[in-house]
Amino acid sequence: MFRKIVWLSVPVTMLANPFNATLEDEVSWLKDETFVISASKVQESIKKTSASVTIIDEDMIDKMGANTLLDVLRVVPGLGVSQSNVYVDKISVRGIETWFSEKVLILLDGHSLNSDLLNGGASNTYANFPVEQIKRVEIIRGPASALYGENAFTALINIITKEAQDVNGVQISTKVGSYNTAIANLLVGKTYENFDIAANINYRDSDGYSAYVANDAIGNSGHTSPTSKRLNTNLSLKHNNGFYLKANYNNTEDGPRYGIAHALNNEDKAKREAYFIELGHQYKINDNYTLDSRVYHDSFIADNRWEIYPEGFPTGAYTDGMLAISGYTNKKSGIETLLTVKKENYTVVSGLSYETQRLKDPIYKANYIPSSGAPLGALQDFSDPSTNFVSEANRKFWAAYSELLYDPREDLRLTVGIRYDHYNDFGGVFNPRLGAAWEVNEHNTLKLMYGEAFRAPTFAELYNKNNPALVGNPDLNPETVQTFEMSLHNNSIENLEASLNLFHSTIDDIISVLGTTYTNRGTMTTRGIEAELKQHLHRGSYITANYTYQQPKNDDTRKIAENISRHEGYVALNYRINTVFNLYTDAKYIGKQTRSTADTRVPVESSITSNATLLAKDLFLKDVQMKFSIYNLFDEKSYDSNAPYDYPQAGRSYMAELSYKF
Amino acid sequence: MKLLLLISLFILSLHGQNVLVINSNSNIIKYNEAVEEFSKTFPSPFKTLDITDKSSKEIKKALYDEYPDVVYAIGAKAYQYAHEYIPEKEIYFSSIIDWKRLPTVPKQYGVSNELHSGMQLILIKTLFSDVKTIGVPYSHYTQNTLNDLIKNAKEIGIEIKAIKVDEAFDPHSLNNLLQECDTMMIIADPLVVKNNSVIEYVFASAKINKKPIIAYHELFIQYGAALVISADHPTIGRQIAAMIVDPDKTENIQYPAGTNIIVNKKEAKKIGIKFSPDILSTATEIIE
Repeated sequence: MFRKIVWLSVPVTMLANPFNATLEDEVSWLKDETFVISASKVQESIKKTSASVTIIDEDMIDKMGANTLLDVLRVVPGLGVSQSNVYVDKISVRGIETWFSEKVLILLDGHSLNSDLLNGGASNTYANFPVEQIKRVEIIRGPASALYGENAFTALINIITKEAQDVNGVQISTKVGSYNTAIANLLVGKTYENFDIAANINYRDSDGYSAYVANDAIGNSGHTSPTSKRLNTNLSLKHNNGFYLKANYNNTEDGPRYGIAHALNNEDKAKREAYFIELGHQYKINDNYTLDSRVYHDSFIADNRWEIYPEGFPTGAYTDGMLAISGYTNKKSGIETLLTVKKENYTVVSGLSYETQRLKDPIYKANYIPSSGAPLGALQDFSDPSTNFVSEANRKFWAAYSELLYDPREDLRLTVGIRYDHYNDFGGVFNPRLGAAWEVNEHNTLKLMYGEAFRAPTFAELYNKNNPALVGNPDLNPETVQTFEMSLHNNSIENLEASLNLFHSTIDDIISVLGTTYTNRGTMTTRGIEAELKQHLHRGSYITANYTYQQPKNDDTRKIAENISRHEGYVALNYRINTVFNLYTDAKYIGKQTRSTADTRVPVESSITSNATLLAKDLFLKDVQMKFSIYNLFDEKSYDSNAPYDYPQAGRSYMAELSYKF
Repeated sequence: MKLLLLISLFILSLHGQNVLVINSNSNIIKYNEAVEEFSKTFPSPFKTLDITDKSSKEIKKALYDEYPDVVYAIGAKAYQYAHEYIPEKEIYFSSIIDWKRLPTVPKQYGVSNELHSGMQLILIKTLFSDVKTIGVPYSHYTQNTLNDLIKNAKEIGIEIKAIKVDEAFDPHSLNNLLQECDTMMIIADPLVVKNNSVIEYVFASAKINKKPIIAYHELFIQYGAALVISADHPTIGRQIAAMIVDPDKTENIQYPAGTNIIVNKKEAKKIGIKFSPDILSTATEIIE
């Protein structure tokens, strides 16, 4: 049965070519077999990451009918979104909420968007970040300063944009909806021989939801007029020699909401112009060592017009109303280098960074005397340093950090990280991070985590002046937080993934106003549970749900933080009807909201807000997608708890979208 | 007549099943062979999805649109997408290196790329009776294959000396292993078989150390492999077709049914290794 082959007389060289060709085929096959799909890479990474991570991908974003980053964040356990009285929406994390969300670090492809150095935070500029260019949003709840430095305090939100190969063509989309909302988006992605390009332009114009207020701070009734215009452009260029360029430009203009003094008006206007440019290079030294370097420059310009009180208020002398104009420019420049060493069972990431921050050109005009509030009759310029609302300021910091990811066994990952930041104004701060992720068995993963983080005082908290109510304090220290977390992930039931996360955070040196001056005082503790479930049905249909219990408490007063709900929940069904239609419906539950002890009003009751989005693809024309969304389907009346009055949330509203890819 | 009726009924029952063959990469000969042999044997119509240049989004849409009852995933990429998006379906696989490294699905069937390690070891012991230790370079891609080898080797009194390699694998690191072992076994591992120069170096070192090399593919004969024990890949496509047609009568995961055993007598003589006279009845090919 065997064949005897005599090759003795055949020179080996004659055989070399066909056999070499076969080896090439074999090597090609072997290389192909190393493929890991990106979704699994991300899932594997989440499984082993010592952090509470939620990932919302483009598919879910598309189907749920989200229009902005905030629409995406509202479905994440532990996160909440609420209105403020001025142009900014607030992101709360585990019951901790501030005006400018400065305790949350928002990144765009790893680049910090927290460029408003006066107030801190990025939500005032990027909360309405368009979703069309988002590939996924990674949300890490808990501290992340050990790698990311300042502001990664209660959460880190990393927006990952689509790369050239994800787009692979041109996509044009338009949306029209309630409140005269119109959105246009152009997304382009192309891979050339030596470089990739991905770009996006988005323009949004909306009158916004005009909320009715029965009794404002001065007894008036009326409607808000929260108009908003936004232009966002994003560019990513990558050369195959390792160099890349990223740039983003964002221009927003927002109209009046409830007023800076909670007095309705129609004059407030907040303009913000922000951009950044980042040039980087990835150098793969060998299979084990990679060196990443980047330099960047960020700019943020704010130009605000405030009608603090309307005509005739707070006294009759203000015939044109109490008016102020404020503006400022922030600049950030930095350099960072990062070495990644990957070995068989460990990875070490070590980096050095240096950044300069600058607050300059503050402008202040008012028709009152800033220090006393006495009327002046007309707007006067107080931009002189002696009378301005804030001092010009410079800040520099450098940081060194290192993180070890060590897998002593295949089922165990240990994480140890430390970062030291040194600021020229308040000194140095260490932030460690420890974690263990243990795959107990095929179906269960247990994580134990500990992390510390800091929030640098903002320039307003340090250098505000000539303000009768808010005076800066140059001696402020950063706020610090220590967080313990334990999470269990289970997938023992077919197609069902479940996780439970317990957290306990203690915030020290909270910066708040004592009398009229910013001061480090007090401690706050927040603890609770986050539970998530996802049941995959079939053909892309699924049910997802989450529940959060949170109890943020002021340790000095022993009182629960105000204007938060202890219980929040979310449930969604994505139903893939057939090859053309998809229906996504969801409901968000917000429990009864807390009041301050001095507030005797009845608390805001619990509410359930439902949305539905019907998507049709390739219905009449190939590569054409149509989408129709109804938000607050049952026109539920709900409010964001606040003083002196609660902020009504939008009633039933609609949005229609048409997009074409070629 | 009864047989014809049975076959007709069987084919009719298959008509209810929507079968999708997913080819990971149509530029890979091994995958194409599997598709070709499957299509020659499978008795019912089926659809083919070539995902070579498709994005994740396109593959996802295609799988949901098609939503087959049965999937034949050829290669790791095809299997992972089927596992990711339609894990509730019957998934058959082949041509995957060390299939145990990939996540499982409830209804998982397939033909392993590797031959039964016990069978290979018995064959080695039969042909080269002096072999007591076998050196095996492997990586994290082939950990399970190595574990099987170690387990089966112990049972027949052979010692496996393994060396784990990573992306920065330097073939010089195998010299000690060659000196310590009676033979070296090359398994299908992407970090070991990574290019021509690595393979040339390994075989040159083996010659210097007068150690035979046992390999998993005929192509290694030209480099001087003394013994090749390889799976007959076209057979695998036919094997999968048979498994889908009659899933109740088979093991969920099978070893390749066809085996080629090539003895390079010329090379073995050069090295001076003794081989058994059983060689004539065992080998499918002998190189003189």
